[in-house]
Amino acid sequence: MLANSFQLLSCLFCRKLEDLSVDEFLLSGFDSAGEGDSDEELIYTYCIIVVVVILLDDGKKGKATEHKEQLSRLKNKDPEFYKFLQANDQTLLNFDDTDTSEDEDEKKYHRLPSALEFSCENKDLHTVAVETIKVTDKMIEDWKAAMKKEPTPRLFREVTQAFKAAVATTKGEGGAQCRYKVADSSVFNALVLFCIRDIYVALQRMLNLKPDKDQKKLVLPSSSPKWQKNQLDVKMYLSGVVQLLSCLTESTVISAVLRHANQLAPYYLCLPKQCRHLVKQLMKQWSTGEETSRVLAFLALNKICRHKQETYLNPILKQMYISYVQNCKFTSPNVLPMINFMQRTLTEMYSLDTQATYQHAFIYIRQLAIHLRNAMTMKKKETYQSVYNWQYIHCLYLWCRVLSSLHPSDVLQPLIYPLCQVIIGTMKLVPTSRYYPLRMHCCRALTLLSSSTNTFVPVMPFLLEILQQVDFNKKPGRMSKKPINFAVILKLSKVNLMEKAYKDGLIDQLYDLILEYFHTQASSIGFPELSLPTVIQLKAFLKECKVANYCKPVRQLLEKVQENSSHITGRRQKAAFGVADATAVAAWEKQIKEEGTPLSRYYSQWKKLREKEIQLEISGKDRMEDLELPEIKRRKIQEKKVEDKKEFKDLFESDSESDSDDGELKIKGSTGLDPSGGF
Amino acid sequence: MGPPRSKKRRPTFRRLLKTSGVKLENKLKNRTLKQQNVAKKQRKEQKKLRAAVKDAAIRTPRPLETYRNRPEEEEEEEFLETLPTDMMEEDDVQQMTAMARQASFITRDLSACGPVHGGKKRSADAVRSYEKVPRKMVRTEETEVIHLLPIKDQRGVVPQSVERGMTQQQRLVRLTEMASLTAEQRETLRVQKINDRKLVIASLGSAVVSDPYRNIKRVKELRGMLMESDPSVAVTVRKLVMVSLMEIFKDIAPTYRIRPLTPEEKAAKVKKETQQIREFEEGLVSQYKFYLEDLEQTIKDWKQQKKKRRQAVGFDSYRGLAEVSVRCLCSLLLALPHFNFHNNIVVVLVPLMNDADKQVSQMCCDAFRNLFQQDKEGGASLAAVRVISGLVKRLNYHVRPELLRTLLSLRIKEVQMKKDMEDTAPTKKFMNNKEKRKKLSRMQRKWKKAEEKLEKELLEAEASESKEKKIKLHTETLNIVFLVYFRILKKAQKSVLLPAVLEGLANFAHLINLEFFDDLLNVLQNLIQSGDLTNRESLHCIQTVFTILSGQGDVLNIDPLNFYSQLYRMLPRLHAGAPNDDIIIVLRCLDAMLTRRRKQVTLQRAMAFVKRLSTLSLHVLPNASVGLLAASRATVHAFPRCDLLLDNEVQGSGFYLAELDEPEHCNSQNTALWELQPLQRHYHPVVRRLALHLSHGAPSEGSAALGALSRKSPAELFNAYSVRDMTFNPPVAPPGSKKKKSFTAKYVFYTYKEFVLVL
Repeated sequence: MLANSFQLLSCLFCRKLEDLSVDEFLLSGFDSAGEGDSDEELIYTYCIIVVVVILLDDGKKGKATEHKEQLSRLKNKDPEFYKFLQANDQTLLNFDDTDTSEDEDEKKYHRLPSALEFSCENKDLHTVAVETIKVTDKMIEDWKAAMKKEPTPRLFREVTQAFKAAVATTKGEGGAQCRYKVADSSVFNALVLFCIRDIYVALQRMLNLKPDKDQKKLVLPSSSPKWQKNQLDVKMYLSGVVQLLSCLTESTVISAVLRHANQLAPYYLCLPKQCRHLVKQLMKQWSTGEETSRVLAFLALNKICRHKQETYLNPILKQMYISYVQNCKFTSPNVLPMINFMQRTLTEMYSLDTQATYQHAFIYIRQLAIHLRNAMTMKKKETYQSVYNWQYIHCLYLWCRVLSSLHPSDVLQPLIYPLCQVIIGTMKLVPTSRYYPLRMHCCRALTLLSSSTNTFVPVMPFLLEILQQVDFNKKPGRMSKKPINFAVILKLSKVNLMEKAYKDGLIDQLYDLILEYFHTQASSIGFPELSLPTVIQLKAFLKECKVANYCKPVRQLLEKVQENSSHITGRRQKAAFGVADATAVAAWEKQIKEEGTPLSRYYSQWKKLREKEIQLEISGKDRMEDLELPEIKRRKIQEKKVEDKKEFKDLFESDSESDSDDGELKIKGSTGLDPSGGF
Repeated sequence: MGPPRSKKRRPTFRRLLKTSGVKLENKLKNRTLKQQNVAKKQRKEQKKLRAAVKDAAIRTPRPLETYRNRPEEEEEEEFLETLPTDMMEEDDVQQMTAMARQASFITRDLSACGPVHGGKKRSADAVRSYEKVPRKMVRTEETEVIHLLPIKDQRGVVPQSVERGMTQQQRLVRLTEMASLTAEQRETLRVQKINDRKLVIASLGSAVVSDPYRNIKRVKELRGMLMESDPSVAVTVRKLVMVSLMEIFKDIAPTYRIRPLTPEEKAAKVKKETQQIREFEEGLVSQYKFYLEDLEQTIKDWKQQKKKRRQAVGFDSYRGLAEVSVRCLCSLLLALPHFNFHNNIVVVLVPLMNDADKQVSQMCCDAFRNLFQQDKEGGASLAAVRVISGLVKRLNYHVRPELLRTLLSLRIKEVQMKKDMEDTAPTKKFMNNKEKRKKLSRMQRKWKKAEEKLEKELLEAEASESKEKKIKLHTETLNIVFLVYFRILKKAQKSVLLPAVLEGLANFAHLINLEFFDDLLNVLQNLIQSGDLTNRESLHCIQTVFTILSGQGDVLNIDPLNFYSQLYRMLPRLHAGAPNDDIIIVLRCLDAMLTRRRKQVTLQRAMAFVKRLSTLSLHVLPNASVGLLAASRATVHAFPRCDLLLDNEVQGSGFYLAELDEPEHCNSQNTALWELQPLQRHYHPVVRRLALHLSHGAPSEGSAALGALSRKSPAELFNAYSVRDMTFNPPVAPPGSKKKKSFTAKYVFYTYKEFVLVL
């Protein structure tokens, strides 16, 4: 069953998943399952839940308990769906705690070593010390057995020494101060695997640490009476793990080690220096690693922050922001999902403490504003460049996302105003046609912010201005073969402006954006006034435009907007309250929203179609680009990632019983990846 | 014999070059003055020469290289260096200072400074050497001048004479120098030369500024450096000299205009001080004149070269020099509007406002704009406007719009036609008798009385004269301005100048004479109905019309209904993009149209406008929103019946037709201001506040009242909340204190706990 589910999962990951909060995740799962057997559909959904939980929580309890918890959370979050489940599948809710997929876990256990295979040929070259003991497979077996039986400090020290020696080989010519020597790559693999798998449990037993009953508080190893004695060895071991992490290149191995580091988080929390080093490595993985390692690194960072907020939260937030900025310099269809991931996870981190977030956001938004002001006053090309770049735009988007996700927050509310002003100022800085893509990114960010914070921001004028400025009747200067992907460009070249693809794309984008914006305002009582200039403008456009291809979508848009407008006008004429009555208006708007407006109905329809279109586009592109070399590579990577996920999932399961972590992670904007690109 | 000759030579050299009519006029004016003073100047020159010779005797020039041939001095030097500084006695110091006067000592100090110098000593020597360098430079300048006339080659006149002035050895060195030096060395040499020249300029400049009366002749020396001949540094040095001279003149010029002396004055015997001042003034005027001529010549050279498209060797540097000259002229234009030759500067600069070079024209336009803004007397403005008008006419209206836009900065509030208005300036309060008796003694009272009487007289005399003069000047200026505008309106309606003209008319509409009204209104009506105008231009037209009508135009019996409809039609075309800045004009129009003419406006029309304005405020930037809402508020106050728009009740028949462009027929009474609801969710706090205020019927009290905001006019609000320079008004609260932190952190945690407990 699980294997099956992973098949589905892989499909899911390849799909465009735009909103990744759990609920929507689930719903989208439903949508795509389509007209299948209802049981299968449920299983499918359930698998998704499990995977999401594994990805997000640390999987410390059995999968089943996890699942239970998840389901009850679901009950909290989405009662409708919960009811639906209750009605349809009782067994799913009364899930048995004794897990069923034990054997499958076993099966995958043994695949791990092969994944760990390490090119150690060159390490054999430097055999140095004389009095060192060579580590053999047998020794490892012995240690393993002994550890299982009774972990003693002495044994632990030996293993630590051996581990240190193993790590030292990865560095090349190392310290050579080790008692042991690891010469063979298979021994290396066995040793590392052994450590990763067993050391944590052994340590817990050795220090006599029991998971807290409350399960909410992390048990720090420094509370154990035996801590003082073993501190040095633990320290050595922990720095070994960090070092190992720093020199690994294979993503699967990195994931395994990260997972281990995650387990060891309480120990790191007791040793500030090691923790600092670990954070540095985690930061590197989070911002530059493969997808899985990014997720794992984020989980570890999150754990550290949650448990020692006062010491680590501020520096980690700062570092994360900086590495985010550093790593969003270039945007391409391949990188965009990673940037989205960073945005979402960073938002997650910012949700830990809104007061701290306010300070960060204030400083960084001000920084953005200062850049903008300089650009405005200097009016030089170099200063424009300091604003009109991807980093700036991604930062704007990040803050929009943070403020939107954490919306009902009194602390962060005041920041909406400066952020809006900065974004509008950015749009108005160089309002030429070459920067239309940038303007559209800004509009999108504003739409997001305005819809999720229930704030009014004038977005429409900036879109309509485009419609006004571009002469769509003019014959394009040249034909182009490829459509322009507006999601990954900021600036159009002069050549682009002559192309047909540019105007096609522009109409498409405007249609999307206008519809999206009006959708967010569809149930507002002022909708008719809000849409008045648009209606006038679109009518003028239809009068002028002679190109049928452009007139069609515009006419459709106009119809929908007018329909919605008259709907609202009709409804509000019957209303019994005056303009001043804010509460009555709010209630009225809510009612209208629940009833649905013509525009919102059309929007959901359109959205579905549009998503399918995008998927088709992506798959079509893949098919087409199979013929070219680089894209083949990309696909392989993606396939591989799915495999990786399977493997790394095994790792989760392997220690899930012994893990005593709490699952406090809030699943707000969840952390999944979105490989299809696009916002 | 040298100095007088050189004095004569320069004017002749200049005469060879072309001069403008104005300049010639100036020259004639000044020549008489100059001739009268030739003899005196010669005397002074000679005196100076004697002083210079005496000076030179102390510092005999020594060629750079000679010191190597004088081992005994080097020994001594070394000996001195080995001495600890604190052991030096008075005599040693004296000896050293004496030696420091010698060039060789200095040069060695500069070029071959020993490594074991104590820090203190070295710095002292460095200062001394800096002091010496300029004087040496001045002298070489003089020697050049002596031998200049007879020699001339293709490179120019001056270099030759320099070489002649040099010793054999130096010439040899110079010749080998160029060949042997690497690019890097040449560069360092150049830097060194520039530094030397800078020091010369600095010393001369500070001499002049510290005591202008005595050192006015130094200006001439400084001016001589404008002819810098060394090709490697010429451009830089010339620029430096231009700018420094400009600053010096700004500094030493008196606050009055210097006039030439009459023969009687000349003949009369005067005190020594007066004589000195006279000499200073003469010198200043002539030097200033020559300086201005030099600047003009530089600009002319650049222009002519450009037109001929000759070989472009020196083109870049010519351009740079000319730009600096223009900058200097602009700065003088602003700084010395009262001083001699101001008119000449204006005449030179006005054509440059229309220059093809964007930077130059920008610079000149800015200068004139500032001139108009800061000109309190009106005389300078009048002169400038006259010249501008002439230029516009001469070029047959093919000028840059920026040129006309400068006229917008004219500070003209009043003209002749309003002469009868009484003086609104606050009169000084005098004590009345009672107070006097209470506070002052008898003697004091007596003094006070006399004082007050005098003061009153003075005040009257001054005020009446200056005010009358000012108004006269302003009237004349404005007449010229309107002449320009009307000519363009009449003859060149299609030109690019139209926007500038309309803007100008809107700006000065309240000063237009009654007799033009009829024609002007017709012209504007036609313009606006032709449909060729942009939004901004139409808005200017409307503003002009209503400013006229609200002034003395109220005697005219014209119904401007058409203009109302025009504005109403235009409103939905404005938005937050580029036209956001036009909204300030709308606000001004609205003030004249709805608030001031409330008696002539129907309720229908007012309500239609209020509705459309608040709709528009959804689609503009916050500053415009605030302005528009404030305008709506003013209208609501002017027409209390507008509260119909706050109820959701239908009056009479018909639906509100939002898209209809006729304010009278759109059934505005049947709609409500629902847009105030989204505006109450606006991201800008002030917009939220105003929207709330309006939705409660704009009360003056209670929770929805505006407070201080209500005292500002819509246009003021528009400017106050402008986001052009990215300032945050109102400011954003900086990160708060730590206390709050723990509280909110708990709060977040609590919500999570709750969340878990439900599980």
